[in-house]
Amino acid sequence: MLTLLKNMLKEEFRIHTAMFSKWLFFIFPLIITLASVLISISISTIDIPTQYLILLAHGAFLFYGLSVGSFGLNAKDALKIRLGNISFLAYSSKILPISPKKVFMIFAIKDILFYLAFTIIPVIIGIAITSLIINIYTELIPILFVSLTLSFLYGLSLSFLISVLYSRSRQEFLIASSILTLALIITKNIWLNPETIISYFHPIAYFTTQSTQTLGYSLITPLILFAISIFLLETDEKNTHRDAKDLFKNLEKQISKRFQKTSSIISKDIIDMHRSIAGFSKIIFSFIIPISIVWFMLWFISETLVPIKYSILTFALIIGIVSTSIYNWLNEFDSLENYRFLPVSIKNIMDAKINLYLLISLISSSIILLTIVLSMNKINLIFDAFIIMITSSIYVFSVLIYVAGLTPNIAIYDAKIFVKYLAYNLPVLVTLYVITLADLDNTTMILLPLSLFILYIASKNISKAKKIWTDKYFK
Amino acid sequence: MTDKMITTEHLTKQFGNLKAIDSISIEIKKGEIFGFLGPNGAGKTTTINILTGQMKATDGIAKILGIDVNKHPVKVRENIGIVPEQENPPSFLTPVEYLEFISKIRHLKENKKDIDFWFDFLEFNEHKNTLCKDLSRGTKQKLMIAQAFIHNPQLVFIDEPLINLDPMIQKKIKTYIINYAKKGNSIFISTHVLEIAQELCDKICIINRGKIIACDSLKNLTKESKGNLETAFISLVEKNK
Ligand SMILES: Nc1ncnc2c1ncn2[C@@H]1O[C@H](COP(=O)(O)OP(=O)(O)OP(=O)(O)O)[C@@H](O)[C@H]1O
Ligand SMILES: [Mg+2]
Repeated sequence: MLTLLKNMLKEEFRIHTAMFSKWLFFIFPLIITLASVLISISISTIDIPTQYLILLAHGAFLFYGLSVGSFGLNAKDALKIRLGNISFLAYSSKILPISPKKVFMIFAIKDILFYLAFTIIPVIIGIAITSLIINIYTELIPILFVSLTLSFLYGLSLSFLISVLYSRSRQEFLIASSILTLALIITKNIWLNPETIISYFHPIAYFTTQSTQTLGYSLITPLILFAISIFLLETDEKNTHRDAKDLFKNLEKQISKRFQKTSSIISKDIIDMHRSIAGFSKIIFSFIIPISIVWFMLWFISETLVPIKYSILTFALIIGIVSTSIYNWLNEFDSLENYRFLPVSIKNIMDAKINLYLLISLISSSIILLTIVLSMNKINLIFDAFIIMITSSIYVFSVLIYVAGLTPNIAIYDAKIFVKYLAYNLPVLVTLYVITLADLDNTTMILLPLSLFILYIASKNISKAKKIWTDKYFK
Repeated sequence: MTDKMITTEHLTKQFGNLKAIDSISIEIKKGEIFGFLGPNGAGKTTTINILTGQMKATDGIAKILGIDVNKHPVKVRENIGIVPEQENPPSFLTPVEYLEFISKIRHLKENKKDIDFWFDFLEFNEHKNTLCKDLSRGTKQKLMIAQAFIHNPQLVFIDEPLINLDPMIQKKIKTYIINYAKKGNSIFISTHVLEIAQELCDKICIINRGKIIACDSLKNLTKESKGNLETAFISLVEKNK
């Protein structure tokens, strides 16, 4: 088992360094640490109650774990499908004398280690450095280290479990989640107060009490969730011989009016997503669920703990930024190998992905934003909120496709590319963020021209991307 | 249009310090079935990848149907058909959908008849609505063959075409290829199955460690070995070890 894990890690490393530089790959964690220091120093200059900061930090790690933990969706696909000419150990190990469950478990552990090494630990080190620099809470650093990592693992294992349930049967999943939601609503007087939540969310409880018992709980809970997920995971296909009726023809005809040149690729991708379990449900797991949880947390904190100021506009900004994760998985399951031998250029493929991204991300984020605006009774802000969401979503996407082309999952770990990504994004996002908090009388008057300007730059980024990346693939 | 379908001059591809193909100059004429033989790792697939614009040559020139493939790879692929070495149609499409997809990519007009022809001809009607990921390897290969011929291109590249197919289908495809070439089209086949080369090819080149070690008509190539291609192939490769 260890051998397999070691080889999978090696494989992951080679995938990342095949196209981009080895050296820059190892710089990546350092950059994350540096970014983390800068961000935490700037947060520390703002006057925020410590209690709230701690909640927020743990919440952020939980959120990150939730959004990356939906391995359950990929189980069957990861084991069954080779990506074009590339075949992974997880696939080929089917012929080895190891059960597919074990193979998949190792596959998931590999991913977790990868996330820990490349994001979680560097970020915490950054926070630790900050607290040394400004010399507060230095004695809490080791504890923070543990509790934040655990927070991440909570999110990750929970998301893993949910996604396993979901891919077992959508019906079971719906029934289970409705019962749970109903139970939570009925019993809300019991659990909906800060003390209960803090003492039952073990990572934070451990941070505040530092009791060994809570530490034990917070170690065991994710382990149990992980074990249950592996136990419930189905690696065999239920019906291996699937027939399907022709969806392509009509779909292509319908959308060919709107997307003339790219309609065939878009139709193929939509059908792909529709039929693979990992398809559209990935939107739910990497986007909708995390966003809903953040929304709940913000609402909860401001209702019960500290009345923090967060506006629907800030929220629109967050939705816009997070929605760009959709571009990652658009490229995850479609392989360039499908097009190598066809009269299709990289530009054509990019055009298709751009259209598809706009279509899916704008629709799904609009639904979320609309729900939130309506439920918070903020109709008056709806116009501004939409402008902010659309602008940030398209801008961050344009930067992503510019710096990372059609391989964002791999390219972003190249330090040079990542720094570029941050450098292009930060000024724009900070500007938008300031506007969302500024509480102006005439936000729209400022926002509208600014957005148009940002979108103009975005369109420049996109056309540059098509030029640059054409030469990088098919070498 | 000249009658030369493919011409290359000193085509070379370097992977790091490995010369996968080394100064290859070949010529394939209209109506010719060209066999490209060689041991594993000799450079056959690499050559095909370069000639079809899937990869850039490090050096040398390749013209396909008179078009410089280095400069206009997409234009070249518009005019040819390719059966790739690895058969991997998109997992979640069905064969019907895949052929419709290919037809759209190639801007073909309504061609249900052509699509149906291939299902009948290669005898996989019963699988035309099965998701590609659940197809048998041979069926996937049939689909890739159909995909390469669906637009009736003047030139088709085939990298190991028949290896997973049953003898009846192999026979059908061989006959199809011979007739297809008679209509003035050319076929570039890379294969390890020497009987296929012997049955089909007008001209054969043998590549070893990236270098062409023999290139002639089938008749001339097998003169010394009394018409046996296998003996000729083995002795040529041994000589050039
Ligand atoms: N993308 C690549 N990067 C590095 N080396 C490569 C690449 N593709 C092929 N090679 C190397 O180039 C050489 C030629 O490979 P190629 O695939 O062309 O052989 P082949 O003649 O098709 O072999 P086979 O009969 O096994 O299919 C081999 O040594 C191979 O390892
Ligand atoms: Mg080959």
